[in-house]
Amino acid sequence: MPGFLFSLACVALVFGLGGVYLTKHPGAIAIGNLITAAALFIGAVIASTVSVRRRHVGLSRRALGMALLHAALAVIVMGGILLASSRLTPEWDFTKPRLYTLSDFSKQVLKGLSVDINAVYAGNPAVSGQERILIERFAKASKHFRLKIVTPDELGPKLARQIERGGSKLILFCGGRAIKVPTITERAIIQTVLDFSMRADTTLCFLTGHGERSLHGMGANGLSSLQGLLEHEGFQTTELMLATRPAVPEECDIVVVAAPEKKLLPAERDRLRSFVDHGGRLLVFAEPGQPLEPATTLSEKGLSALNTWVVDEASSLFGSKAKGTEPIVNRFDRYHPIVQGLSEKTGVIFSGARPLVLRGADPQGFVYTNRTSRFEMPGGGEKEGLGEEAAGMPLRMRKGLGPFPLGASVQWKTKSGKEARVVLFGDVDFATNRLIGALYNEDLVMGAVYYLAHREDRIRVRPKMEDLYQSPLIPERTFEAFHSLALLIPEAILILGLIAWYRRRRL
Amino acid sequence: MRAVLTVLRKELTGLFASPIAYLALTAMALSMSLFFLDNLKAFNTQLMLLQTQTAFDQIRAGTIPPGLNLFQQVLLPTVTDTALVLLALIPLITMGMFCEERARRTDELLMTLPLSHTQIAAGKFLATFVFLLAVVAVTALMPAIAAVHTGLDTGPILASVVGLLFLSFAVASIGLVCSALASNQLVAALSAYAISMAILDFSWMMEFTGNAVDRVLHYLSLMTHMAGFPRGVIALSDIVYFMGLCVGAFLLTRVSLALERIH
Repeated sequence: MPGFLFSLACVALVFGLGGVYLTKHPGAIAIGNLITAAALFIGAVIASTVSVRRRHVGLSRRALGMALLHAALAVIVMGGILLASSRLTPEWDFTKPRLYTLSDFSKQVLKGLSVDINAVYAGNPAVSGQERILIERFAKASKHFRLKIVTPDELGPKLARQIERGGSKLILFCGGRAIKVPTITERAIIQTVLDFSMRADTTLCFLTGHGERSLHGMGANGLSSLQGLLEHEGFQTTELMLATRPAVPEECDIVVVAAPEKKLLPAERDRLRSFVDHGGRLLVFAEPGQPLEPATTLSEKGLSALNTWVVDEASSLFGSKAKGTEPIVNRFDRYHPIVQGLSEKTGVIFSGARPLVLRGADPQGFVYTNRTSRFEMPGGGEKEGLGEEAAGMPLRMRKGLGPFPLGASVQWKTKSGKEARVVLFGDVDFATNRLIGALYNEDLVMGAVYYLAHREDRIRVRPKMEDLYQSPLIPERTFEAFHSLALLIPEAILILGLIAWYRRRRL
Repeated sequence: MRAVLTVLRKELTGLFASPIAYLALTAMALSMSLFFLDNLKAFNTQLMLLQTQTAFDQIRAGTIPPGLNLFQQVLLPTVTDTALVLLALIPLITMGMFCEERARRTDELLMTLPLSHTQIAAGKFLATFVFLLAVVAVTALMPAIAAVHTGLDTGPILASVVGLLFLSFAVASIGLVCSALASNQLVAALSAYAISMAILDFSWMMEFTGNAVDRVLHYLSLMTHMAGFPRGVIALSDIVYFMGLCVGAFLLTRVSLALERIH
């Protein structure tokens, strides 16, 4: 009788809980099942107590007492282990990009925090989920990042309204300012921390007036995302109409030439040359079919670019409309400061890029296309048409075969003893709103900016969203292999079982 | 130790000599394959849709919407499905470990052997764990092949296998203690299901409880401790939690055997 009641109780409990788990809500039937289960369990306990008394009539009280003591000890030991486990914090992140470990970039920002940031997370203090684990990691990494977990009821009306508007449940406070973190990701939190902690001490002046990509442009070809990124990380940005000024203004630490459509005036070239000769720094983006400016300064330093574009059909991103001309590049010079942290596993996507030509020993390439790449002449022209550009180029490159440098830098000491630096990229699209968020593009651009700002110690790979790590697609043949394996493995096991059963019968 | 190994060998021989073990392994391999292929098919359908949309320029070229990757669309749901299948399968494997001895009256023979309760229980527990190693190895086959063919991150796959293994050990321990306490196999299996289901996820009860109780309930849920593994994070606290369940169940089984010998 107790066994029967107990079995019925178990069935009611299993189906009651099953209903709750499946619907994520304790409905009437599920609750009914659970109440029935509880009643049946009580019935089973009463019946089994009577039964045990009858069965154990000859059993000594001491033996029963000892058994009960042992059972209690077992429960205490189990409880103790479970309690101890809740105090253990060590954990190991087995993901290749270390998704659940704070990136070096975040650790560096937190280490250098000079202001106190108070984080308020509105959630159930009892429940520790992925979000809370992440925020707690920030608090562990810096004594200046203080975390307080409160229930939504404990928030004041103002904060509660902010939380109710949707988005995340994390608000950061610093120096009388409060910012709600849009989403609880490492990236979003660290960007908010940067908003509080960064002080602008380097100014980038974006050259205008020649059809350059717009610093404030919100469209796909604009640079507003780059501007936002720069300002987040403590850089000031401004536009520079050089034609109307006698020289590059003193506040400009770095001048950015973002793919001008027209040639610069000779006077503008001279001003830029003078700027560089006095220890100024230049960041130049080139585009196929557009002039490479400031031509004379670049040429003197051994930097130029072929007026062709790179094609690499073997390395293109899924969904790209311009397959081949939007190559993913993952060959970096590991000793160059600009690409610290970038490796074969961290690709950068370019779009319609010009291969660079580096002359002499001074220019240093730091990002190269793959060997599967080639270049094509505009309008399908012959490679022999390269003219004097071809002189001094490696033979493989003269034949139009990769790898080609797509980014290079040069630095030298000026007469005044200052160190001038120039960085040239064979593409500007990779830094535009359309592509800067893709793969590791932002890290490459920002690496160049930090290098030009003489802040190489801050070059790090920024935390990425999990979804950037796209797995390659499964080709059709692999799918077929899965089909055959999916059936072959169970079949093989079943045959082994039949053999075991047959052998046993014959014994 | 030798005595434990003798019990282990006897139990494993018994398991693999019967077709039940192979049927369980086949069921596991087949369900795992079907889940995996089903998820893979859904993933490919989504990709095809995306390609169509890209052609019409409805999404930004060169990007894939968040979450549309093999890891989130195929591996994570497959591990969750597999965990549920294991929860359903393991009580069927463990229900006979002690009950069948009683039904066949071989328990009396076992009790008269020069073996302590600890050795008998340890042998039975180890035999079940070894069998579960084979079961989980079968389930790991599909993700492993996927990793080889697609360059999928092997870390979360490895962590998932470890997680499934610990979950299996914990559920099997519950099944074994139920088998040791119950009068017949049906009761053993049903009570193992009931306990496993009850501690699977307490989150639904949190609507009716306070903060302090919430914390305890959340911590005691099996799924709380399983959540990190498929994402590639192995926490010591999760491993110790599962081991704690195993140790508790083992000690209770030992007590049950001691009571049986007194009879």
